[in-house]
Amino acid sequence: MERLVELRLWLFWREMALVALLAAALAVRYAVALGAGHAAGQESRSAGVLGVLRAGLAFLGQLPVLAQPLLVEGLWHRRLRFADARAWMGHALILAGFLGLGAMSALAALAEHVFRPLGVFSGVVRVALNKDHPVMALGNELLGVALLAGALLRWRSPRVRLRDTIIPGDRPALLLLVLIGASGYAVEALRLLAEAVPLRAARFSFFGFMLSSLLQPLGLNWAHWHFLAFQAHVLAAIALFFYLPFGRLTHIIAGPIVAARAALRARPTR
Amino acid sequence: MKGADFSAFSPAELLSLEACTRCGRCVPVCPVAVATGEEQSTALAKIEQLRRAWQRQHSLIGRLVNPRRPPDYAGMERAAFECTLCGLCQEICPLGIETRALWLAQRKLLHRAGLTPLPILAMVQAIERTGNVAGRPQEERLSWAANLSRPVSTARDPEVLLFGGCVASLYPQAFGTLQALAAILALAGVPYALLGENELCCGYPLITSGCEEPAALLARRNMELLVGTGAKVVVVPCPSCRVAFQEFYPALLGRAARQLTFLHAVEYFATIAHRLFPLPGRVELTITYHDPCDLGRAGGIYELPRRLLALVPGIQLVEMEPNRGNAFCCGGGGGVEMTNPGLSQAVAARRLEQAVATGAQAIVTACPQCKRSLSTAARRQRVRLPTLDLSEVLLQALQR
Repeated sequence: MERLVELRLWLFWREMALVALLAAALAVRYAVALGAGHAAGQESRSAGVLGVLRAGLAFLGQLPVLAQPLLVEGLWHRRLRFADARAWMGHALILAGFLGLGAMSALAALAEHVFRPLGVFSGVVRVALNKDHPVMALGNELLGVALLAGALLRWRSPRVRLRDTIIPGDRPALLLLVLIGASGYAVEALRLLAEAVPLRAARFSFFGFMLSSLLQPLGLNWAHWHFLAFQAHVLAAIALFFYLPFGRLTHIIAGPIVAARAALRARPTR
Repeated sequence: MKGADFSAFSPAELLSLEACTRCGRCVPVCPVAVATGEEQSTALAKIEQLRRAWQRQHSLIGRLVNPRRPPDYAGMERAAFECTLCGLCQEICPLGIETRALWLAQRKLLHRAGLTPLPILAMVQAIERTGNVAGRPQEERLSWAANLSRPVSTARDPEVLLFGGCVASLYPQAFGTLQALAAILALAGVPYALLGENELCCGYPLITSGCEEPAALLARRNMELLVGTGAKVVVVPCPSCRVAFQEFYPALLGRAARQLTFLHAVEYFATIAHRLFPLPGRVELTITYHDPCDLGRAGGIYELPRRLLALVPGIQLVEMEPNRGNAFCCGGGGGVEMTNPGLSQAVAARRLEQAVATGAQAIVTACPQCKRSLSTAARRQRVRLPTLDLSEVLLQALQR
């Protein structure tokens, strides 16, 4: 059990480091591509990349002014809410679930790997360190439900078809999101079993607990299965990351920036 | 054939190609798609086309997989120049992607690749040769003023300069717009001047065709002429001229373009409201107002013309569906009238249907090009529904 936990964390941090490195490389490569596209035929490529960097810095410089449109248009999606409430709801649930789960995981990781070694055990850190604390357990469960509900709502959204152009569908990305959510519940259920968490503490992870109750009669090596489920969960998240450039998901990075910029440039009507 | 030159796109515009969620909301509202069932000019199709061309040239995977495949220029050209540049896709986009800027950059890209359609090139050459979009002798620029009961003003120290624009000055269907505007200025006691045969095209058709260099030349010459009159305010009856002066000139000329105030006629009427209202006469007419794309979606002016019309005694305004930000295009924009006249008329016919459905006795608009398109559509469809300029309605009430 101890060895598996060590191996799981050892693997996890290396996977994360690899993804972070790749993300940084892709971001640089993207900036270079933008710069090359912008400068082609006019100036040198480096001038184009510098142009992109300048535009990026100018954007960052505008952040105080952009904060409000970034929140209202880029994240809250005011225009989408006005245009299509159902699509907005699906989108909002996915966004809330994804960002919320990411924040909870980051908080737990910070507490475990930064604050615990430093000996900081304030209220929030104590909560974040305890996976069975009602706030952590319920928070993760509800955010997972939001993610899955949002993916289901979006699953039924009509696919756009054009006669001459193939528009990539949403479904591969939604499938990966469902995989991330579902494997998250499996990880939680198997953790409850592997750590033999008592019912009093486990009940807050309502879905995880229900699943663990169903699995318990199988009498498997839960620590082993928890290790595998965790790997599947991480792999699904990494797969989603690598799927970004191929489907419609690049909008999660470019969309808020473009929406905020457009809102800032929009003129009042009269 | 070499790859496309994306330097016409700013980094933010390239980023917005990736921001498109491909939700498809722009497809069913695109006037071209609605009028013809063709989807190639919808924002979704054009963004997809541009994004793929850009990725093929500049993304890592695109460069590895198929580095030498040129973009689908033929498809791109057709899609780009069968778009009326109405901007409805921008209005409808949940992210508010600035699509008009994308389409202008796309046309620039095509122009640099030598793929501007011939009718557009002919128009560009006509402007370079004669100084106007119709390719007519410049002496004809004052044709609209012939036989006027009140001679046009040639004030030495003008309060405003009336910039007629090519469409209102050279196309008889739109003469009424300038005639009414000049008469209103005279009745309101505004000393105004005209450039007459010295007036040049504002450059809007050049910029929207992707030909920035001749447009910059025209812009410089126009600014010299306009500043030389001594007027501080330039009034234009054409929303496209207003867009050129207010948006394109600063980009082309920098600070030099900000020496004058450019106003569309409806904006100017609002500034001299105390000299015009209350109106002495009545105009007993049920009208519907057509929002010109360049005044509404590009200029943000929706309520001002409606408020002016509400001040005309006897006028009853019934709204078309759709209206304001969602208004359907008249089909006269983007040079489609030149590249595909049938398509332009099909779009105009659709807007005319919407106007007929209101039961109005006349369409009122604030754009000479919209007036031309809708009048032509009415004539071809044999519909008795005249299109008037807002200035013409105001003048009727001023004269009675």
